[in-house]
Amino acid sequence: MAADPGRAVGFRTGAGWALALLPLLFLGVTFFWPLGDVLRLGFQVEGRWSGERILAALSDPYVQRLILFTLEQAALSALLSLALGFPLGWFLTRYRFPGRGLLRAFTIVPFVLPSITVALGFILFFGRSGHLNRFLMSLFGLGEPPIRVLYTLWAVVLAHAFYNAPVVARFVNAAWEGADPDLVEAARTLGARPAHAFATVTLPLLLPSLLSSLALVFMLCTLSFSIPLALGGARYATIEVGVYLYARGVLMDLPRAAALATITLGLSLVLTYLHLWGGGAFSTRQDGGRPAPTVPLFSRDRPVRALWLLYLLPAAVVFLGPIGAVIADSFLHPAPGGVSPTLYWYRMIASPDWNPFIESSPRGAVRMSLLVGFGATGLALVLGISVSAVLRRVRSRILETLLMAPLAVSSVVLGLALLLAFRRPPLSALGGGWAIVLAHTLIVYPFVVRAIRPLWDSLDPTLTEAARTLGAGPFAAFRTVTLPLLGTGVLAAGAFAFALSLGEMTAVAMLSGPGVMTMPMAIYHFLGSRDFGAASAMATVLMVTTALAAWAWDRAGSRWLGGSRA
Amino acid sequence: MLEVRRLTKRFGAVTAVADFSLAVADGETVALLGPSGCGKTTVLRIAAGLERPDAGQVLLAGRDATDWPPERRGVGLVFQSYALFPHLSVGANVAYGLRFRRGVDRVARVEELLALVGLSGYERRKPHQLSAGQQQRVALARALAPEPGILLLDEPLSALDAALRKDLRAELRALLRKLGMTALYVTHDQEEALALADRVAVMREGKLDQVAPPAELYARPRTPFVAAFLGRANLWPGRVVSVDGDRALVEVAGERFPAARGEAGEGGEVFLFFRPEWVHLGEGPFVAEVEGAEYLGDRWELRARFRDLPLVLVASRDLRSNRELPFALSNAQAIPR
Amino acid sequence: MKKLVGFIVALAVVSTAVGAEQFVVYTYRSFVRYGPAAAIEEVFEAAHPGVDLVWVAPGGGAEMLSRLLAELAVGETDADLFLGVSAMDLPRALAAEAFQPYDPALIPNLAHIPEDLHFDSTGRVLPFDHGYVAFVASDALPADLLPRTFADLLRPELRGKIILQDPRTSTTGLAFLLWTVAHFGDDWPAFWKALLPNTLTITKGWSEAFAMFEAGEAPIVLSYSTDAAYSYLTGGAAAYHVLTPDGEGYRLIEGMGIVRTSAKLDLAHSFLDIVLSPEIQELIPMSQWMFPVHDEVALPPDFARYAVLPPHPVFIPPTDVADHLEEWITTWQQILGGP
Repeated sequence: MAADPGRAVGFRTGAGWALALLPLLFLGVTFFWPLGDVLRLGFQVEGRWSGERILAALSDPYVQRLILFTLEQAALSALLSLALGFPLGWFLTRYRFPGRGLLRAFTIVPFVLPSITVALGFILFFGRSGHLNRFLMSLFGLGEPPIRVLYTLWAVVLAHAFYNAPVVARFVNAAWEGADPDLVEAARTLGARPAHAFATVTLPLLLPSLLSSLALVFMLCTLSFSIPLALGGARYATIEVGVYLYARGVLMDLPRAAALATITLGLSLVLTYLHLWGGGAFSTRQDGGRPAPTVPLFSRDRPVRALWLLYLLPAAVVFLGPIGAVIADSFLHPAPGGVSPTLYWYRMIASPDWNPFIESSPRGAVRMSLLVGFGATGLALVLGISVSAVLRRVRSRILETLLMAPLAVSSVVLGLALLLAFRRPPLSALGGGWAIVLAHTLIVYPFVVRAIRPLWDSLDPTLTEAARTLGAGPFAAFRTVTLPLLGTGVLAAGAFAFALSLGEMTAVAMLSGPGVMTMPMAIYHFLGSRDFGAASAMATVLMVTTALAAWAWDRAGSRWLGGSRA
Repeated sequence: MLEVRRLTKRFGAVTAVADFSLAVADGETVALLGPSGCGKTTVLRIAAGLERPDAGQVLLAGRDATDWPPERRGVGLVFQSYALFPHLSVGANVAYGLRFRRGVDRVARVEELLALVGLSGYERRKPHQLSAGQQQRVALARALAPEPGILLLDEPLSALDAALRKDLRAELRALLRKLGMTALYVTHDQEEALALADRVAVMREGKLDQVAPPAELYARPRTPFVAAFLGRANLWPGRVVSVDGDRALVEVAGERFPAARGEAGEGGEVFLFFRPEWVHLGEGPFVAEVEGAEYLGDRWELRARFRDLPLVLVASRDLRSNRELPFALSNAQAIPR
Repeated sequence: MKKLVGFIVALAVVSTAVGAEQFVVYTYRSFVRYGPAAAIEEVFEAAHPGVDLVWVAPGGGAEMLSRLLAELAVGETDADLFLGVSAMDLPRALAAEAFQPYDPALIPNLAHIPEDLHFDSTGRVLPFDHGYVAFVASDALPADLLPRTFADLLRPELRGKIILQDPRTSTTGLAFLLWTVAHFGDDWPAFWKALLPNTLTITKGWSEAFAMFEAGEAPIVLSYSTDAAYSYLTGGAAAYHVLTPDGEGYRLIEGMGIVRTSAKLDLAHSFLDIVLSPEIQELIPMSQWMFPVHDEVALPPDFARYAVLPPHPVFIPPTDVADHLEEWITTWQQILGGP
């Protein structure tokens, strides 16, 4: 009878419970309590607890429209992400070609890009005077730009798909590679044709992963804030935009903002639960048996390969277009005096004399981003490992949903909650930079947990048991056996956390104070002050750093799987 | 050295171990034998401290160790999967248990142990570079390094192929003798149990059926289960018609057979038990009909019938042609039903 | 691990900051980026050695005010002074009692501010510059389509060609809403309904809108009447046409006030006076692209040539705005989401 790995080691030791309490305490102080403030604002009417504010909000036709639109765009975004992402996942799983590993690694890059970079890229590429329209107009001799996707619902949906389709692709890829190829082969020997075997064997195996990724994408899109604002405009406001407007707009109404935030929170917690129920893991690869059989991409026969072009071409346009536009702009945007192409903008952001923001500079922004990134990553790793340990011990999906709750809270609400919380003890004892580090830690650590847990679960439990029988106490066993084996996986999760922190902007905007300026904020400021070239240059630097971190994440992940398999 | 008293362990609705007691004396090797799922591994894990019993006690060298955590017990555990630390070298694996003791010359001890298991010079290799048999030896060396009071082995040879298993079995036995090591050895392979152990304890569905030295267990099983588990057995349902001291007469299918009485009483419903190799073939008062035979290399196993009863026989040559085969029983035993 | 320790040390240094006393001013981003902030800091710190002037400006004006009010609601803010209260923001700032009254005796330069620019009768908020919201068009728009009246804005040829800002988050956006209320009276919703098809998008703030305008997304943007001057004086060519439909433009006055919870009154009054001094007021046109309030400050000649002062400026008194703002915004929201 297999022993429950969580219970076997260290049953009632004090150390075990302390370990469990620490992350809960941290979350309590930095997340649940501040969030409680926000909820209190939403639920309390003149000191009494009452749902009437929530009900009032729900019966306001404007709010109803917000909710409907949010759900509508989230559903469309999820579907488009699925439509774009599933073939990509298929492509990555089935075909061998040079650069496959690189492509797989880079699928994480869109997800961690700051929304302004994406918005900027979309405007530069899909805009009326953007590259795509100019290209098509000159190619076909048109007078009016043919692609008019921006500032409509479809821009929002497309941008969401840009972010999330690669996520779906990764889920599909991981699930597919983890599936037992013998099953499909069995179906084939029983007489099923390839398409039939796929539909009746492979697809059902992939279904939990697909649904799980759909739930995740749907939830992330309901929480979307900057993209609808930037690419859609005021007519395409989501609930989170509503929260923002009531929190910071001219008709400031914090209780109503809190009421809306509460509604979204409820919705996204349900979605998080569904996502976890589907068991989706955000790791590089799940532990599987033999890898699925791959086919070399560049072989002469099989005209079905040509069909792939029908997908790959539009996909390349959607994913590479905006990114490419930003990178191109960083070199091509004319420097003062009209010189183009130019390195002027890169020099501008690298030079320390350049000081448009009093008490900060672009270099300072890079430095601050890196500091915050490392700090948040360190904290998120410790927190993520502790939470993973707790969740391994207590197998409760409710607890898991609660501990992963920061995932379900948008950065606006998080920023608001932390802003209020940092005005009072105990958190007011810390400086302003800490608020951002904490915000990022909270935003990022659920992903660390999602990455580490499957690795940890697939570790042979007898290894720690062997260590225990050889004389190691529970913590010593963790330190000398579990941690080294998780090691590369932890590094990988850390790289991902770092990339996420680099690109996070909304919480920073809510929380920044004197001397605190990160790269995404700098990009935003450059945009605001019409220094497009500098904005693109800084965005390119951000993208390269992110891509490097993402690549390191993937490499470390596969090295872990390769090295420790005895 | 090790004694477990009245152990009970439940996993949810399933009772894995029920009121199980066993003692292992100093220097003794006891094999815990039973089919998959009978609870033998659970008993081992309780002894090691990796599971807590719902009831019962674990005594180590006379002291109540039931509540002690694993690292305090001083037991060595060899896992079925070896559980070698993949991130450490062979030498570091073996030395692992020595970290938690003071005043030990680790290098010397590692050398000593590797020599003992026949892997001198392998200190720097990594586990994944070794063959299964070699990994098994490293696991053994690692468990022995901190000089445990008792060695617990969980089906350590089950992952190896037949020939390797036999070789390692012999080596293991020699090693345990040489060290004077007390050992509790869990296995589902009766051949292994019989070959390795001083005493064999047979477990079924969480309970102890019988514990005795191998020969006794083989020849005088107390239950039909033990009888059938340890080798090919003929078990004919019958009744004891008369008793005389430790002998009895058992009536089966109208015939009367002499047998050892065992625990049967006069008039009791019993199985008449005898092993195929205890049957004299070619002459005797009874006649069997041979129905089929299997060639096993060193012998032929025959399927026969006596009246309506199945009869398993062994012979050194193919006797299928003999439709009628006379036989006589010796060394039969009555086992209460 | 070392990185974490190093980081903690670095943050500790940053957050415990300088031993010097700090005077914190909340303002909007472009004031710091482009405005006379640097000059003000220089004069201020020279006048008050040992005091470190700290600007907090991560967002736009309305945002920053909201943030200040949020902090005051919870009970704690770092800010000593707020710079960038528009006339439209005034009611909610006063309602939240964000500012304390200033002492005119401590601000000599106050005498040079024209009476009609004082938009706060309670004596808490002082104007420091003023400007006009109008439309700006680029050369991409054919000259015959340049809208000269409000009716022109509704022409079908302008479909999808106008970029506006959201009145809930943007000063210019709110200015335009109030402008239409002043111009059309009770019929203003009808105008908006007709205008919506001609708008390309409604952005959160002026920065995004102008960025899109400059990127060529649309040829007309709601912006400031000094933009032609800006384009001429920075880019060398008057690439923009400032449009004042029906000769109107909405008057914006920006003010500053001492935050209620601040105790640094000497420093605060000194700051106010410095901002109203001729030295700083002279910098306003070229850094803020607004008009100075000091009546003895002359405009730079090129600025005077290109910056447009609408013949019939429109302005709704802050008290009226306060009374009706919620109703107007709610109606506007409904128009936005309507069929």
